[in-house]
Amino acid sequence: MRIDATHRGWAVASLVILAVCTLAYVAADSSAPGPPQGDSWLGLALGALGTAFIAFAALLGARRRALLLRLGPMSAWLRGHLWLGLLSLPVILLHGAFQFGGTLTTVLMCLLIAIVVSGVYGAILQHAMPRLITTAVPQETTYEQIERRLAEMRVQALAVVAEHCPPDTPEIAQFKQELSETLRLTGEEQPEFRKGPAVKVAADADEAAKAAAAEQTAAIEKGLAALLRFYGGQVAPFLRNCRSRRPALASAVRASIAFDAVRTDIHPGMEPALRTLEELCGEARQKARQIRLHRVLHGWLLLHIPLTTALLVLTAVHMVMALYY
Amino acid sequence: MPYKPKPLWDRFNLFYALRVHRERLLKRALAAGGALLAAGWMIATLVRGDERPFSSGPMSIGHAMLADNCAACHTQATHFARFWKSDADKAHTLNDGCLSCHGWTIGHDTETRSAWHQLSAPHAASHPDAREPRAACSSCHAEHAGFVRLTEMDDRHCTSCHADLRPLDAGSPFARSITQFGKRKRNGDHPDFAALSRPDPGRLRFSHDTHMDVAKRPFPGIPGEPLSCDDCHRAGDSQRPWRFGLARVLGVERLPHELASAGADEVDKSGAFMQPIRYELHCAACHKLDVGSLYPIRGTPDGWVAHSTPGEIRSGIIGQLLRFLREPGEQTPPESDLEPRPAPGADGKVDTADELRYIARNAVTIERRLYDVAGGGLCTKCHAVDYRPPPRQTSSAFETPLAVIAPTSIPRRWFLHGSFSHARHKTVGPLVKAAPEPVAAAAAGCIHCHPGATTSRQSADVLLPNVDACRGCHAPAHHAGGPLLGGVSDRCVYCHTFHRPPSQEPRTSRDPSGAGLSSARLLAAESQGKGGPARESEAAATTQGALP
Repeated sequence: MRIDATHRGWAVASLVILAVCTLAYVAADSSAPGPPQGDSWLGLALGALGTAFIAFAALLGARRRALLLRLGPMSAWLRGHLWLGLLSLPVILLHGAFQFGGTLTTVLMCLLIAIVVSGVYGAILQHAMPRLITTAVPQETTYEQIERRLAEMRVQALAVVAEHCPPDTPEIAQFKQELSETLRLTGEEQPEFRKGPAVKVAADADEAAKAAAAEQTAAIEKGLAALLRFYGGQVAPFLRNCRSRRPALASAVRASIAFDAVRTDIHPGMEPALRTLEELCGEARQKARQIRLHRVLHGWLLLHIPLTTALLVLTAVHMVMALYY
Repeated sequence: MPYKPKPLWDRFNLFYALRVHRERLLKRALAAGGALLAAGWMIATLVRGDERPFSSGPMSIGHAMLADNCAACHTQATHFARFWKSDADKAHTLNDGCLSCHGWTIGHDTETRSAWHQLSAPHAASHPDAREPRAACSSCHAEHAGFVRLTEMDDRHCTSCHADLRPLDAGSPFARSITQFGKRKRNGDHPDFAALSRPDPGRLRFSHDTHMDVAKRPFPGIPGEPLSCDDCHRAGDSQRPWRFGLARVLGVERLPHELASAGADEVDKSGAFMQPIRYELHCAACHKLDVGSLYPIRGTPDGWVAHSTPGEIRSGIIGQLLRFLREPGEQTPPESDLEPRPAPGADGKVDTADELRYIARNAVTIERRLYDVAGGGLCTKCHAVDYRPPPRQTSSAFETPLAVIAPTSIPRRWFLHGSFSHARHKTVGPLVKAAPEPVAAAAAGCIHCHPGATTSRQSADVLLPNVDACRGCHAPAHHAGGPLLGGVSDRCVYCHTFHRPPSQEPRTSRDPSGAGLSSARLLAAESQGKGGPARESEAAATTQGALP
């Protein structure tokens, strides 16, 4: 979510709340020999307020699972999550008189700080990275669909290669075997193959024509062998594991060189197929980049979320025990 | 038929949102894991019965041993008390936990259970800051605030009232406004010590000037031997023998262990206070009570009268005169002004009535020698004595009232509203480089704070340092045009206590009344020390018989 003018209301409200809390704290501190502790009435009020903010921020996950309920726009929840979650830290610090206290409260404070810091980190990423993704990944796909799209691309790549091969080509059979799981996943049909060699010669053709046809057939077979070698050696492995940075095709420059080198070896009739393969490899690179950016963009949640649940459980215990004693 | 890719709308599974993606699954697993881990920790803690994690902070130094025993303070009555008790009642309940141990040490009263600085409830209630007469101990002593001393409280606990005492009590003898001690932006407004505003109540005739300066010392007792402050003034933690005590007269290094113990028990062994001045320990070597050249006194040392009350002295004199009469061979000293012995009867024995008359008249003679100012009475050199000498030859000790020796009234404790520890100021001496000429270097530290001690000529001089002398160290660190000064705490609680009323006497482990040791007691102890238990009765008999 971008931090823009739509956040102004939340930002102002948060600052006002923080100012009120701080003033109350300072007033209590100056009127008594010591700062108001967590068990004073002001401390309890600040604790309750901070806990309410934390609870509201934590409810965002539940809100996401209740999209159909009329609970206000999701964007408002996101802004509230961001600002109230951020506000909870200073309020809780005031609640604890800027002391971490005992073991449980120290753990709670550390959790809260880690959560807020990771949240701020995430907010910064959410603010900046979508634009970066749009630029770096023009063919952006829904993240959850990337694997499916990559499978389709593998089938498509095999299909365009197979178009130039006779049905009994052993390499194609092997590729088909390797793609069987992918085909099951995507529901694609088996790629079709051309029947026989691409060059046909009339039975009554003269020797020269036959020789020309034989020469053309040899050129086609030579190009087909180069195409199959390139597909089997580089394209297929890259499409299977496009997230690896090691293959030559993982780099746009090196991929261009590799395709140009193959282009000189293949028959001109295979040029469209090679172009398709190049496009598919380019899209696969984008998918790999999207995956990497997505993990950066959402990886912090793997820390943010479990810490939050732990915080909620421990906060509940803290509330009960603090009131008990 | 050539390969034809699917149309765009067929390439995607439009129900992907309903499937649980593995990353989403990972998030859910981690969320559950975080909650389970936290819950597991709490459950394990509760099952173990370990309450420490629930403490709101580390315990103070004095209560560290209670870190795993919450119930010691948070009794059953305090559980969820916030919901069903007022603040005052809750505080009261918590106070019970404190007072169960500290009730005997802080001098709380049963009415308030918090002492409330010895203020009555109406006073406390009328003062704007006295919000709750039944104040919570925790309102000042904030526990769970770390490994600190609970008594080291912020000055604001005190200045919340003492910054303006006007509403409290118009007749209060205390300063109306005290906001700080050390010098900060302005001088501290702590008033000077009350003890400096009135003369020394001590009735002992004493001149520091004469004693400290060898040249001015008129008596020949120990010629040329300079005195140091600690020859007479030593804190209770000192075990060194005294230089000018009775031990020197008796020719021993120090008085026996029992005597030392007896003396030490009277003083504060922490070294906070100076040991009381005792004739037997500090004066006897020079100020001898030797009347042996005039009278047949066989005390210990021989010829000495006891340093005791007039009544005990008279009893001793009577005993000695009776002994003298019963020992016909003993002669009166040549310079004696005693009457001649009464003549014995036909049976060689002195008539009992004659004996009584002799003893009564001559006891008065000896007393006159001790108490009569006109006659240069021994005791009157140091003590104020109310004594009216009866007519010579006609008076009788049995009819003459006893002399009245004015109590010395040397204050055992000067700062009645504050505490001071000499032991904690021992480092002042090494810090002081220069000492006045007649003063030994060891006494430089003493003179630094008590500059008048070398020149004072009369007992009425109060030789305490004033408050500015304290501020030299007890103030925030500052440069006064030279070296760094101050830096030592100037908190109120550094000197003042809240709960216990000021005591005129330092607390001792025995004999809190501060009653002095008589020569008889001292020497009886000495005899017991020499003779051991087997000779105890003999020693006691000798003591009673030999000592006036």
